[in-house]
Amino acid sequence: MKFGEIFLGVLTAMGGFVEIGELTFTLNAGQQFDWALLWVVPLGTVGIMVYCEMAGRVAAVRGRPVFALVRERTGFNSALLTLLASLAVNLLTCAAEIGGVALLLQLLLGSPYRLLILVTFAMLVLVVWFVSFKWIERIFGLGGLLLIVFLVAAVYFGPDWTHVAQGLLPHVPRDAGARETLLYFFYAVALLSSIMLPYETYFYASGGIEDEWKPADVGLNRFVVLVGFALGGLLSASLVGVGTEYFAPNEIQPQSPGAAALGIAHVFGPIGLLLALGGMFFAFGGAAIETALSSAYNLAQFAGWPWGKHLRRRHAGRFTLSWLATFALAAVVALSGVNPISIVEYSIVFSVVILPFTYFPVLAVASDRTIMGKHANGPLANALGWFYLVLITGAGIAALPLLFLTHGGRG
Amino acid sequence: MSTSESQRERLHAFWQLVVLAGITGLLVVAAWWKSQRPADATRLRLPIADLHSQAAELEALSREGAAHRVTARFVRGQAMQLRVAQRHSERELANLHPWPEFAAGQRDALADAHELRAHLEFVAGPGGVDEGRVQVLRARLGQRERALRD
Repeated sequence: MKFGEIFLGVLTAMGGFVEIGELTFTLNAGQQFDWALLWVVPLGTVGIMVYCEMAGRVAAVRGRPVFALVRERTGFNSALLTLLASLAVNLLTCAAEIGGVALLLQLLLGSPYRLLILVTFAMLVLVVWFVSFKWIERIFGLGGLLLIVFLVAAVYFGPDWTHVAQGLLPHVPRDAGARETLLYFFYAVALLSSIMLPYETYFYASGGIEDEWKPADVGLNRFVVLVGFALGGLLSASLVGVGTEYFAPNEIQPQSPGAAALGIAHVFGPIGLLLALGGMFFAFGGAAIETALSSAYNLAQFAGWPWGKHLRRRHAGRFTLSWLATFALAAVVALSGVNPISIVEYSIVFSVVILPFTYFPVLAVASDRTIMGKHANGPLANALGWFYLVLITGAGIAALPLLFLTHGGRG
Repeated sequence: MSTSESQRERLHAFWQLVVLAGITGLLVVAAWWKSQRPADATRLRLPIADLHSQAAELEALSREGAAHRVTARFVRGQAMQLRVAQRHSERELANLHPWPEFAAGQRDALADAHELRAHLEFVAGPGGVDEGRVQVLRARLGQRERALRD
């Protein structure tokens, strides 16, 4: 494997790590609780590493994507329920990302929001139609790296590193009342979910098959996941930092991409502003494409249709129609005028409910020696897999009551 | 698959659908019932907290604009988006029917919401906004929010 390819893989994994939901939740987590929720970022990052590595390994060794495993391991009824839930969550996430891109374009062009949703929809369809899978990954992944400006800003603000270190240990803020404690746990669950969004695993494993991974690529898969996602996690941690150091003292709860960019403009002026807006554009655009393609992957893999961007469109007609329909429906949802941030907040909380149904089949297959042979999970991967399965099941059970008790996370 | 098995599957699916529809119906009724009840301090506080954040964002936007750290185009675009958010929060606040002891608080907060809307109209204009007045408004909304929280 060429060094350049590995390097690009790591960078695209890092640049594609953040999307509109994660951006909003991490900034607001910092704004509300300073560094006290920082521990969720490494926790979630290791979780997504564990499951993407397993899903990628299964894809490389057996050529089996996630949803084929879900149907095989959990049976038709349960798989159908997981499919419908995942399609709904992907649709909402895609709508939020399209809305986010339209809001960014509005800052640059000043045109009406609804018109820009249509422009975004057309642009994304054209990109997926004409650009190859590899180049979609590269363009949006590398473009998303502009978000590193948040990392530089977080350091520039000069945080108290003792507080940062304390934030790595789970603790409810000392003077928190019942309301703040519930909100703290709501944010912990939402942050975990936003980092471990299920579409990332669907897309990653299906992408491995699109890229024609072979058993020899297991090492590449592991390296890209470990290094790329670790760097992506660092980016997320820096968003907590910007929330703590800029938005908390200014009493702003950032509810739009433009508000998020204000913290960067404060430090780096118009250049920083442009970098932040550009990074968000690629990050949200990339996530919109990933969610639309994930929906098509899931549907095709569940139904047994031919799928993949690498196939000629006439051979994968239903697959093509599925991602087109996802984009179109997402654009309709965005056109309804609902705030994209509100959409994504709900989609992230509902995501955590379906996470166990997505991850259990991956764990079951990845640890099965009769299927995976020498590439089956070792004791560490199994232990981590079970730990995270229990964790996300608990988070899934707590998510809806917390959403209700905190008035949708508004406190 | 035998006929009886297929019938059992269909019956199973039917009952699943009934349960799902029942839960959805219950949630809708619960949401409607909640919306009909007089608003307590918490429900009144939520839109005020949003208005407080919007006033703070306007203050920061104006400050960064004056210092040329953001472009005039950005200020115009962000003010446009803030106006949409402000209208939404104001509408939410106006549509609440609070308990009598909170009626005066709602009225005062609505007056603040109107003032915020007026400031938002001017932020992208040649004279900008009066930062001092926005600062006072932000502080006042913050006090209202904290009073309802405590």
